[in-house]
Amino acid sequence: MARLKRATADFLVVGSGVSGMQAALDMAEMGFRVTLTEKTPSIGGHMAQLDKTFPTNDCSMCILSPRMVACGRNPLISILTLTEVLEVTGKPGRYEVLLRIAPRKVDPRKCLGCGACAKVCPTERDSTFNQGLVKVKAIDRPFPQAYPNAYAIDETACVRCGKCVEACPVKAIDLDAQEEFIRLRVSGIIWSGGYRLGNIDALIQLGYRSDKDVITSLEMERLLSSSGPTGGKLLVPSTGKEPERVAFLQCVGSRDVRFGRPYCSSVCCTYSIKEAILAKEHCGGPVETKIFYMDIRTQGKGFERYYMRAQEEGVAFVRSRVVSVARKDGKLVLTYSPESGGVREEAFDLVVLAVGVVPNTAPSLAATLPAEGPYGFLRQSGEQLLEEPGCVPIGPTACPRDIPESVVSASGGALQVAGHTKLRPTKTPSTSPQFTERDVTGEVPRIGVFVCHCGTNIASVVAVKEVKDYARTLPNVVYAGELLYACSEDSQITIQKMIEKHALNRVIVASCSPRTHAPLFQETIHQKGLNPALFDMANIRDQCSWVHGDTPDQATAKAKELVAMAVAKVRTHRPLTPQILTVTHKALVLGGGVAGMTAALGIARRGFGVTLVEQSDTLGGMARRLPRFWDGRPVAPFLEALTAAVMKNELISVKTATRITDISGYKGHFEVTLQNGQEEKETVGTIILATGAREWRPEGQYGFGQDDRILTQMDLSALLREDPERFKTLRRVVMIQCVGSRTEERPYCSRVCCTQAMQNAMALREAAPEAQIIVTYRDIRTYGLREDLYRAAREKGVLFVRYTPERPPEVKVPEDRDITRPIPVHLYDPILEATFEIPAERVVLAAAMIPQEGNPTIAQMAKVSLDPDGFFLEAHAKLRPVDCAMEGIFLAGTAQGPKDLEESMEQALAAASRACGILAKQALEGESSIAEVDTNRCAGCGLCEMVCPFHAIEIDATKKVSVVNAALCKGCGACVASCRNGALHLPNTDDLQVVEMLKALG
Amino acid sequence: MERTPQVAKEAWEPRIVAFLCRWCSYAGADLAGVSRLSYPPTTRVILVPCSSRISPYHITKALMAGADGVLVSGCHPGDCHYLTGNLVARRKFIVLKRLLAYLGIEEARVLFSWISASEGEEFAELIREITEKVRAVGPFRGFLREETRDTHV
Repeated sequence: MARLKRATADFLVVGSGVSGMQAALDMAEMGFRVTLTEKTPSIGGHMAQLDKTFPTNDCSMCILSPRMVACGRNPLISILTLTEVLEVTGKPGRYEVLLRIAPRKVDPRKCLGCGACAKVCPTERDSTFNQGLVKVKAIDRPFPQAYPNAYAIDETACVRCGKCVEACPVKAIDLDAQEEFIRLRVSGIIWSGGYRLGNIDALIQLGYRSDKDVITSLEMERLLSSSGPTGGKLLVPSTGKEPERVAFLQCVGSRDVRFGRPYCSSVCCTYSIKEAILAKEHCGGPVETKIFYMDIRTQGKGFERYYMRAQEEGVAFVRSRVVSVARKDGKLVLTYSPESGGVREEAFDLVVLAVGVVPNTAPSLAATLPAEGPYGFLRQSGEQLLEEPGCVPIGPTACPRDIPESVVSASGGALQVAGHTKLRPTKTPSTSPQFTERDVTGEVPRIGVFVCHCGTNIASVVAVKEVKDYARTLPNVVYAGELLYACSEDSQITIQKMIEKHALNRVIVASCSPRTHAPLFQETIHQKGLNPALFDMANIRDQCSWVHGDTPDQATAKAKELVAMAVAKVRTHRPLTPQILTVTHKALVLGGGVAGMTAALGIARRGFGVTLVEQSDTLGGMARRLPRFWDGRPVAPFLEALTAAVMKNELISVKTATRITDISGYKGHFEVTLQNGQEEKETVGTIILATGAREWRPEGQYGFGQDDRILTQMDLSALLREDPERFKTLRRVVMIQCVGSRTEERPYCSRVCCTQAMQNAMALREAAPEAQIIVTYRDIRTYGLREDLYRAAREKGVLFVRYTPERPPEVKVPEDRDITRPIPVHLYDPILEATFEIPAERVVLAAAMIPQEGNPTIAQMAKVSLDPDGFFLEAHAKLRPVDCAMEGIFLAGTAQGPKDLEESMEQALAAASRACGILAKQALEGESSIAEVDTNRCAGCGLCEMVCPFHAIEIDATKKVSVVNAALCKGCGACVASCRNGALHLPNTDDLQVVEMLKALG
Repeated sequence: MERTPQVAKEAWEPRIVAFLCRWCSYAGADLAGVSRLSYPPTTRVILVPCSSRISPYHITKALMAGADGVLVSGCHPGDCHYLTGNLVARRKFIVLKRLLAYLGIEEARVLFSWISASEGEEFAELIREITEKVRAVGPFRGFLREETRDTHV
């Protein structure tokens, strides 16, 4: 009989990829208890498999792994791996969820991740993590950074020989472990099912599976990854040699009605560009990379520059559709038809198929989820984003999207679901559990050294006893002992007993990495009244026994020295206490457009006061000129309802015709000066910048400003919103895309114009069914589900003619300004290689979206940065898309970069969610090791002020010495190293500690 | 601690002090271990929050304390946990390099590098490389330039 347990949590997050983790973390920030489930043995999702991330080429694992650890360590998040949802009953606010936990057969609380089991396991299977490119044992850990960091047995491959059970040093393996069931009661659910790779049929057609050298883009990621099967060397699977020519085939199974996937997968263009750049970087010899594409869709922030960089680095782009891939004379021969017509063949060594994404569906949640989008996606519309349903879909399960968009939807989804419940977060301080600390001032250092065997991981190479005996001889060491596993529960008790017995006031553990294990030991000594700073580690495993297995004597010598250095360092440590910062439980939202209003409403619904500041006289912003959301829903009634909801919410104070003139302070406590005729000061805990963007007025371009019939897409939208009937006699319209976007001056894509052109073209067709509408474009970027609009426009007879930046269309405004005559537009058609003159009655320019003029002033006041295009810069392109580097300030809407109405709302919800994470706390915990100024030595030269990346140190105007803002300092030490007078110090990482460690070198 | 100059050439192993930033390079060094890569046991790592924490003082002090070589490694440009700390460090070390040359210290002894948290293999390779470079220039014997050493000591 399988076991059934009952449990409760505030919320359930199903799926633990980057989206699910973000949602869980944001809810935990707001003070809620979250259960996070995952169907595989480790959290992390697809992002863990990626090598680098675009457009910064950041290492994917480097940025993901801290998130995984943060989830794992968060006391409010409980993680269930190998778990699936069987059934959901109940209603919003009161769900009962039946979960099944498959047997891991390895107890993750006991497993040390040592790998002794896998060494003896006789059976092999394909590695899921490495996409079947390598074999792993039946008992395995998905990847080295997995969380939980425990092995798991694949039931289908296990032969139950029992060798692993014997080999396990901590008896963590139980081959008879059974599945378990949990009946979980929660208030709300987040569905973060993620995606899978689409359309295996489309792949097979192009040689996948039948030829080893035709691989998917995800397999390519593994080949490029330094933790992958080839150690980061790009090798052709069949030959094991570096390729000379690599082809990337776009839209395999995406934008293809034949396979039931007519949508654009949105991410493939940029990831293929990334893989092409990386292929060149990873190979020793020169590699030719060619991307075969239909439209390059680099619509995201910074992606267009990335595309340009790829071209500069020699990645070739060929507009065509590949017909077939076949093996000829040892090479892979692509047959394709280029834009100029005809059929061409070209040989390659490696072919990478850009496979699209297919949403994972959740049959057990189907009845609970509010939205049912096309093609299995679960999309929320603009109106739905304002609702607070009990169950919300996030990430790529909602629509095809990249990592930052997924993270945004996750933060927003957390707020939506949290908003539904009547629960109010506990306003507990974020400080870790408090223990009474013993005052060690004036005591002679009494150091205890614990040397770990880590089973045989350390002890098989390093002579542990010798290290221990040596440690005992070091000055101030009053105790030295050995531990079999320093991290095990009984070792914590031993350490605590020794602290008591020997009156220790400093502790060294010589074992693994402080990055992963210091917090555990620090909590152990803290429980015994020792301040966590009176501790350090010597890394004698990861950086010694594991890497010096061939030279055990030297490894032992090194371990001794590392211990001596750690002892010398900790001897000089003093107790440190983190700064406690109070929080003002109120927010300020700057900008009264849809993004600002959505954010304000989101925060107010959680019970916090909001001041909504708008510089113009009315709320609504750019949305007042837009007729429709991209999905066709009308904007006007929505905007009216949103504005009314904001106006009548008692917690929101709306201040129109108001500007801000100054911002000071820090996270939890900002002082904002407002100006609307008279000056006013507001104190708030957090600020959201939602100042929007504007449409560029393309004066002088394509005759704009010389003839009223030449207008922008926004102008046309506004006219269509007022009265589409006015266009019913229209016969011919030319739309010109990328006016002022993707240029040298503005090397970014304005993202919304292609979709807007489709909508306006179709609205015109509706008003004037006989009219001929010609869209001239560089690449059509109707990304994601918006591709449906492009297809619909083509089906309705809208004509599309491509142009290149070298030969843009020419608009010949009549000299005599005779508006009765049409405007001749000259179009060069690259397919026909001929120029046409089109007599247009309207010329519509898709003008660029540009940043607000006031951005630099606001950036300076708020101490936030602008990106090279003048939009506000987020803290991290991938994982912190709504945060600013200045903590406590968040970004919403087009202020951060071009996006449409729905996307602006999603980002506004995310910003509100992150802001609530601060507002929900009584107090915030700062860094414990921050810079200190010796004012007697400070000459007030200001060098520290110049190097500080956080504006945390400045020269006091009257005293002429440096002053550290404890709330802003992150403890990097840049100022300390820059000070010419030695007036700055970083406690416990000071020059003193470095010198003491150096002196301890043997 | 002064090194005795009479160390037999074959018994001598270079000793390298490596200052690694917590967020990228130290994690890269850990990954080399997790991946069970092998590199010579010549380094002694000092963990710092950020490469910008390292001052020329630490580097010269390490050489004076008996190190034959010094490695400073931080995050790749753009990856810095403290936004721009690694760039601040870089500016400082460009100047330091010139000073070291003036002091007659062989270029091979002091190396600056970026290692990310995923570059375990690169870290191992870096240690192999710097070990060989330092081995080639031999034990560090002091700060004076070769031509002036005899008259000054």
